Amino acid sequence: MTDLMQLFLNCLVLSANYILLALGLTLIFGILRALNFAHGVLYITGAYVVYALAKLMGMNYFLATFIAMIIVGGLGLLIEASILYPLADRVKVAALGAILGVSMVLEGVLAFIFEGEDVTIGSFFTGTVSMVGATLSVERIMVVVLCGLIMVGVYGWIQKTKQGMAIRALAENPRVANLQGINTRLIRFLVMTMASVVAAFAGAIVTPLFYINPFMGGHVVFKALLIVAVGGMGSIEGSILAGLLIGFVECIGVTYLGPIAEVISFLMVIAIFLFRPRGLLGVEYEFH
Amino acid sequence: MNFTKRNPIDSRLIFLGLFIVLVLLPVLFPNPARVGMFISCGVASVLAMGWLLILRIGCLSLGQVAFLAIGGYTSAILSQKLGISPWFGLLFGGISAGLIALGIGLIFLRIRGLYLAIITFAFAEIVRLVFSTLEFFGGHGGILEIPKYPPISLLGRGTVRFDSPFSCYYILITIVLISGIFMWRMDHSALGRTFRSLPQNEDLAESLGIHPLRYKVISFITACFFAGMVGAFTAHYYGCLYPGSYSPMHSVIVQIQATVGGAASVAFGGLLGGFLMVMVETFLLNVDSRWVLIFYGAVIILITFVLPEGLLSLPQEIKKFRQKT
Repeated sequence: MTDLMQLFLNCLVLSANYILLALGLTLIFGILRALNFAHGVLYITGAYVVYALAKLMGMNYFLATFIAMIIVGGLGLLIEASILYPLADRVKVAALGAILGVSMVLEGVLAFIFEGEDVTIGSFFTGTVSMVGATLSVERIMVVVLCGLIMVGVYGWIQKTKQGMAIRALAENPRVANLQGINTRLIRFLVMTMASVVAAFAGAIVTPLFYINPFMGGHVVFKALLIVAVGGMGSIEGSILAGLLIGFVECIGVTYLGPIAEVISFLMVIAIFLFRPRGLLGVEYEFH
Repeated sequence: MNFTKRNPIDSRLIFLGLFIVLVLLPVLFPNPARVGMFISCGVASVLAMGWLLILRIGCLSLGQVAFLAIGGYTSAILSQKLGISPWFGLLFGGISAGLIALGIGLIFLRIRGLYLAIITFAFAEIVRLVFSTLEFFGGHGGILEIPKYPPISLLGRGTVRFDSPFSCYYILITIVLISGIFMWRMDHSALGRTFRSLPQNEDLAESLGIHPLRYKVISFITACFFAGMVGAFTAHYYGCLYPGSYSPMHSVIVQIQATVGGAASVAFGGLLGGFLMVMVETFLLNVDSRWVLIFYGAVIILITFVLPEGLLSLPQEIKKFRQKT
């Protein structure tokens, strides 16, 4: 029972991590129509800011997380203002190349500041708790709960508020949304900042569990992009669904089969693409 | 875009000049380390040419490195386990990469736009994972002691041995020139014009009797065949293969090199981008490998904003600028 519950919890942690990133990416895709390859490096930047403040300077962990969110949010805003917005009307290859460049530069800068070695932040919640006949670590439960709160918050923001409504309208049809007086530029900035803040939060909250190094951003963003694509680009519900699906398949697979399980999860993704080329809950977007 | 502008004499002269320069490079810089650098340049330029050929059909591939790996592993395993000569391995490496490209091309190339970029990226990751997890492919340690190129005997007039970077450079240059001329011919033929019609309006092309998928697959296979061939070349040249050297980041670098060269011409853009970027990269690697990332990132951002058509469009841009002032 304990094994099974721990496995379930680990799957949830992995899924929550993926979903937080995928949420930001899918929002960015829906509004900015760009693949934000820099998302992974923003996530790692969030983790490193917390590492620098909390571990190296001894600041309170929550305060450090908050500062990381502000810094990375600013960084996201800067990327939008200087790279993505000016390239919005150009061919997709241009924005893709430039954002890949941003991610490489940031990775290089991180590698210069923090050296290329694996570091760990260390646990902030310790101890275990007994639940339904199983012993579980408090830290992992806290991670899942906090990620869930953020997820609900973002979802509520999109679904219930007026801004959220503007975002959904813009994603659906930019031209008509403009006719309704929606400030496209403001919404773009808002979405990019929000997505970066969520990415930083994910980096800050999940990294006490894992090792971090400056070069893992690429792998992380790639997984998140895959989830976004499987869920359907621009679909929030799709991202949550796909995040849970891939998180669980990967976690269970790795536990029982070893590293080859990652191949299986990729093959599953390709199979999904074969039958649903636009993803599970995707709608068709126009590319130019 | 210059659709009909063809100037064969000019291009042939440039080709001749390039041919002479490429052949003379190791003579001008007879330092083995330099020649090793030129070999990396050649490998990069074949990959960049392939990427540009795929861009012609309006597809974005972020998985070219996978075909490099497939070619390399095919040839390495054939020569180690079955004793097939590396000379044939070059061909088999290309063929296996081409066959896999045919298989996945028929599936993937139906997908349009940015989805394709993600899915090719995923494919490259699968290939790397398969090579690094299956024992048959040597696992994480990769394959060591791959046979080198055997000497060729010249019918009683001695033998040509291929144990130095110099002689291997000429093998590679042969591949680079063959692929360059092949892709150049392809780009400047009716086939190339068909390729160009696809990204502009695929539905219109289809209504004119062009089967989009067929042409997309042709372009994809050509690019991947040559990628596999250079992959096989590198396997026998270095004598070892590590799955870690085929990370998806490498595909991103291929894209950057190709973009820097410019899409105006498949062959020249790939050659220019590949040679220029790898030379700077080699120089930076000697200083600090972290500069390489920053360099590639900064260059692609700069080129996107300043010279979106790549370095090949520089003369035209200068002309335009002069006319303005």
